[in-house]
Amino acid sequence: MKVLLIIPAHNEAENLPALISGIRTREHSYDAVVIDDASSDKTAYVAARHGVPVLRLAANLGIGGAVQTGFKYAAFKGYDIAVQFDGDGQHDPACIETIVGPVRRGEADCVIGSRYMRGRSDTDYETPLLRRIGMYFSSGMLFLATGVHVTDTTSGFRALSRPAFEFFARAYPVDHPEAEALLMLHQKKFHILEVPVKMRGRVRGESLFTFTKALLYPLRVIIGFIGLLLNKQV
Amino acid sequence: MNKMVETMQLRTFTIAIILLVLFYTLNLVRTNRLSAHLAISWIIAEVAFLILMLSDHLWSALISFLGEDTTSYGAFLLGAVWIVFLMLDSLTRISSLTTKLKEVNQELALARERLDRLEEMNRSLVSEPESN
Repeated sequence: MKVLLIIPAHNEAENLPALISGIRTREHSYDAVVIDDASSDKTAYVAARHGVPVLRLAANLGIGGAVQTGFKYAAFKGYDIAVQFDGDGQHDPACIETIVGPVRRGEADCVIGSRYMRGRSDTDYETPLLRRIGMYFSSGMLFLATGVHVTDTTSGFRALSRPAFEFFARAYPVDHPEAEALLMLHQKKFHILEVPVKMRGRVRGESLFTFTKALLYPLRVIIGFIGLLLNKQV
Repeated sequence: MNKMVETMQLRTFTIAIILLVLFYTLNLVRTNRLSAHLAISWIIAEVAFLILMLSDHLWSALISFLGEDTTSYGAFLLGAVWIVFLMLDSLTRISSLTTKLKEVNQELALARERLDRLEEMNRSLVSEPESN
């Protein structure tokens, strides 16, 4: 089965070399594509120099638009599984097979790499308080809307089956899309599964999840959920 | 008598404001800062308000509809509701254009990557016979 790592990156030139070599030194060799989300640094150049195909967005689309570009690429290139893999070095390449495995075996359409699964949480990973509150909030909202309990709704480390990423290639939320994307998958009757993974702190650079964004996050989740629940076309 | 003067003053002031906004809208269209296609609903609304203010018949009908004592408040409320609808119409257009822009941006990125790959293949094909 052909697996593609979709790496959205905005000003991640410093993080990419270690990340790409991390992907390549593992026993499983994965194809990868970097989505350069209109970076002002040499993100595209660094990725291309390391032999990774680059999709250069002319204007910044944010994480949702960037990842969706990757889904379109994966669908066009005939991949069977697409893995979302952050360009900031937080995701551990050693855990890729952990999330790909259940999709490969047909056990799920979307496998989420979770830091907070009960009894198997990643105790080394420190989540900022505001982010943690936002995550509990979105988990609660998702549970209310679907009855599905997901411990790490904000995790961007996910593996998707071909039908699931083909669906996302057509429709995908734009801002902070993780929780809304899960609701969309549930509405389309895709099977969601969580597996425990290890994550690291951001290696270099600054997160785009600022204080203001963290404060507005619950409101965005509520509006996004209401929009999806009312929208019959998705 | 006082009431009539007040009403006249209100109408004159409102007409002046609407004319100002109408000329500003037309100027935006004239200088290519606003698309005529997008401005059409605003221009229609401004002209409709102007006709309402200039026509004695329509003004009388409005007063009898809103009540003589609350005409100014009622007119203001109607105007505000109308503006909210116009703003929602504008937001709909912005949303639609944002989606289109996103899709164009994504397709451009995918096309660029294909072009890069083809150029790379072309370069290697050109350099192969040279090395032979």
